Amino acid sequence: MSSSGAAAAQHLPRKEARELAGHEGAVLAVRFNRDGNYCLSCGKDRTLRLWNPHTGALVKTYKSHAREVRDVHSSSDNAKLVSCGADRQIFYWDVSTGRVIRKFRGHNSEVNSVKFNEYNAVVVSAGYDRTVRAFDCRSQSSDPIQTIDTFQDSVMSVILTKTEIIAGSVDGTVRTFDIRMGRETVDNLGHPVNCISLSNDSNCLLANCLDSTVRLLDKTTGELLQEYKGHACKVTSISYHPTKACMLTSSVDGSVRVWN
Amino acid sequence: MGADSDEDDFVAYGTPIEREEDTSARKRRAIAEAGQLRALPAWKQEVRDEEGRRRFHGAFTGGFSAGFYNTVGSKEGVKLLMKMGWRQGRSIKDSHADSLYESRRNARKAFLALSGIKNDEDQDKIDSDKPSLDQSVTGSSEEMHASGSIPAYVLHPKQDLHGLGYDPFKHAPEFRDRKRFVKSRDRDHNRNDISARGNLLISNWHYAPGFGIGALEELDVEDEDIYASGFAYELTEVDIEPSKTSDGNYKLDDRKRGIFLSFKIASNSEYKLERYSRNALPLVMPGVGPQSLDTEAVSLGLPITGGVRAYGAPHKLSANVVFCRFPPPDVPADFDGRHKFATPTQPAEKFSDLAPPEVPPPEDSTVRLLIEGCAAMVARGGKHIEDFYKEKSKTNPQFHFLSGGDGCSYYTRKLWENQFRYTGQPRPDAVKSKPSSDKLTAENRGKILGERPLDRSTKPHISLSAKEAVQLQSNLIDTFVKPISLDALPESEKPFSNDPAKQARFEQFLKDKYQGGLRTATATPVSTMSEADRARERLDFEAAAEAIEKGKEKVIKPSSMLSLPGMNEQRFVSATQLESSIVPHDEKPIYPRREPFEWRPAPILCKRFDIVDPFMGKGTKDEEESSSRSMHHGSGAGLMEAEAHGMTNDTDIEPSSVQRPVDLYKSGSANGKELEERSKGQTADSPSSEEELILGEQRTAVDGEFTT
Repeated sequence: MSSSGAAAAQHLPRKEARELAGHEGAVLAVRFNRDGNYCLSCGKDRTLRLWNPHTGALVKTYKSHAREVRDVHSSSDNAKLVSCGADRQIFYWDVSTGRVIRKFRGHNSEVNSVKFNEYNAVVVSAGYDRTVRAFDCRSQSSDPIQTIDTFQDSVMSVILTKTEIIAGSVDGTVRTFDIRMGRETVDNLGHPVNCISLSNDSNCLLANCLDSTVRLLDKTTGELLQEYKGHACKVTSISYHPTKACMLTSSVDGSVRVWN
Repeated sequence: MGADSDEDDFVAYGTPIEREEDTSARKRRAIAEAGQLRALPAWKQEVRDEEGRRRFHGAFTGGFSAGFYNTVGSKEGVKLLMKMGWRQGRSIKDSHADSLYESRRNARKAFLALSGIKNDEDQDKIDSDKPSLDQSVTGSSEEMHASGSIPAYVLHPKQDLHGLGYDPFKHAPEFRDRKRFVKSRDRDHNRNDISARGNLLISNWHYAPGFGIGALEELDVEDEDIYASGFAYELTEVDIEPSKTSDGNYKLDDRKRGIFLSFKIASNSEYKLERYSRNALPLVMPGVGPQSLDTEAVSLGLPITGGVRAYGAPHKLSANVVFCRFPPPDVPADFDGRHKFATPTQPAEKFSDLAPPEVPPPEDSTVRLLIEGCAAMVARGGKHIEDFYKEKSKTNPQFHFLSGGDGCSYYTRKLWENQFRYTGQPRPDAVKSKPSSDKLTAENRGKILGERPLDRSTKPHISLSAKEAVQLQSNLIDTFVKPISLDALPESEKPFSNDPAKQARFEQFLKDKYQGGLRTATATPVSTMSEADRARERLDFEAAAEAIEKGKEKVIKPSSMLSLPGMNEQRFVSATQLESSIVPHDEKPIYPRREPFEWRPAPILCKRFDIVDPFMGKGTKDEEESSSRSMHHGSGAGLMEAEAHGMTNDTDIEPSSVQRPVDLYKSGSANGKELEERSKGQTADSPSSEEELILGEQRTAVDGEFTT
């Protein structure tokens, strides 16, 4: 641990500031919006909730899913939300009115993760049906514009960069689909990948695997840079700090860990 | 008679003719077409008689001939007419109530007329019947016009078991009277012979579809059914009520017409009916009286149209059919259901320890060839081929090797070699197998047939190395692949033979690309090659693979079957060699592994990501020409990016290909620069405009978006 790291660690939140209660049932995902002023949570009770974490107030509840909501992502302009759930649907919401603008159909099974792209024009989702599908927000259609089905098993998470789609799957691979190069790069880690995250400089890829290790990979070479074994049980979620060089992982054992 | 007086004198009487101007066009057309039939639909053009029954069944193509059963104009027809009602000067159309009965009667008369029965007795009988009936009918009709006094059910009491309104002969009026024939016949057997004969003709020819003679023709020699069996048939009463027949041993397939072909079995007390099977042959048993026929009738119910009863000899009504069952043949006690070959098969242990010594071949090359060929054939075919040859060549001096002459030892050696090769190594557990074919294992059978067994992995001449697991895997992989495959590339087709590492990667690439099965645990070196190098190598690999595929197609065809077994062996050997070269003795971890593949992003995806489609202009797999769409993004943005990032290795391949399609669309302007500048100017706006859009959105959206 470098000194800067230690210093950074000091500024990290240590204690629980607030509890946002409201969900009836398990909360499956919590996400900050782009600027960090709001957070969205989705849960097994089929609702999405928009909170102001600093005041602890519930801003809005979005109810439309037929089954549990597995992931949510807000657009960079905070005007739109996209959420996905076990009902195989992806809902495209208008934030202020709380109405569903569109339902994206295409997945054959539960959708695990969903993301907006940089320009909020494309919604990319990853599902249990081993596919990653891209939907177009600008047109009127609710069918995918592209389907990637080279995965061998359920795709658990997807992240987007300016030019790439990166997805991690239970088949042990992290696949990078470079749109600019027209190439799919398969990094086989050997262990089911539950969640992936990108580092700030977009050079490193974090993948947490179901063998309780978090692996740091170099994105360009695919080399394994680091392995983090700390969690006793499966790591469920992972997130990288937007500005500082540390990451958060959550696990089934009930703990959230901060790593440098 | 002047004009004025005409007008005064004439008087109008009756309805005036409608004048043309008064009637509308529609009315006029209706009037004009009133008498025309040509527009009638098909269902309106059916011919029906007064009771609504359809006449002229089947595919009637015209040529109506009228009258009862085509009797119009014929003598019989006139006779019928006279009999039926013209006698009295009345029309044929009768009172409604009795018309059904009348028509039935008339039909019956028609049959008799047509059958050509000249039996006056019968005619008289019929005639005598008829007048009385006629009188009753006419009398009744004279008394009452509208409805008959005697209801039909009194005249013809219901004796069948179907429902009241059910008319079994609704669509088959031809059979209606037959039923009555049968009934009347059975009641008194007097008319047995006559009606039988009459019905004989009818049943044979008039009711099978497609058969028959015309109304104006008479039965002639050429109308005889030459394929009819010698049996005379008679109507029988196996009817819609099958339960009537006493024995249950029959099968009724077709209940539609209600009359079946039935074979009556004589109920001779000597034969037990229960034992008769359907396959029993009918026997003609002359002398058995007709009386026995009716008792315990069993019908087999083979459905042929027309009810018949089979008889033994033609026109011999006294003959009967009797079924007889033959017992199975007696099997001799020592019978064994297996064919015994003349020569015994090769026992397995024959050559287990017998390894004839290596002998140099005889000097004569022809003899040597003979010996080798013979040995091969005998090894494949068995000992009897050797015997056969021995027989054949007793005189031929060249074949003396078979019987101990020159080259005999060489022959035995060759034979043993061949056998050894075909059947594998001698097994230590070779059980003494019986020479007879009682105990044939799969291997013995294979030996007999001359098959080559599958190669075992534990061949003695392949040393068991430490990497046997890998070899096993390679064998498994190889068995998934067709024999002549890219598994072991012949030397001539190794494109990268000068660079063994690259060649190894190439083989691996081929394996991954073309073959199924298990993947070997090989690792491509992870960090020795850059992205671009790897991509380039991959493209090279793909090109080479295509070239090989094309070459292979030519190679496969001329390869003959003879060389195939040899090739198999060679393949196995070389595969292991390949494996040993590929199996890494590296200490690097196998994970994580990186493999690049080609992936085509959808053009609209590229557009939304604001990225130049890397496959633009190359003709996508879906045959979408995306060039037009991504054009205005394309050249400008791509070139801008290329310039911005510099001509790095990464974008080395792609921009060059991007530029080429742009050239295509230059539309004649030789100056590429001009185009670039133009498009640059054009598209320079677009990304910025997009950014503006986004900013604008953000500006408007930021405030007050999240208010409740």
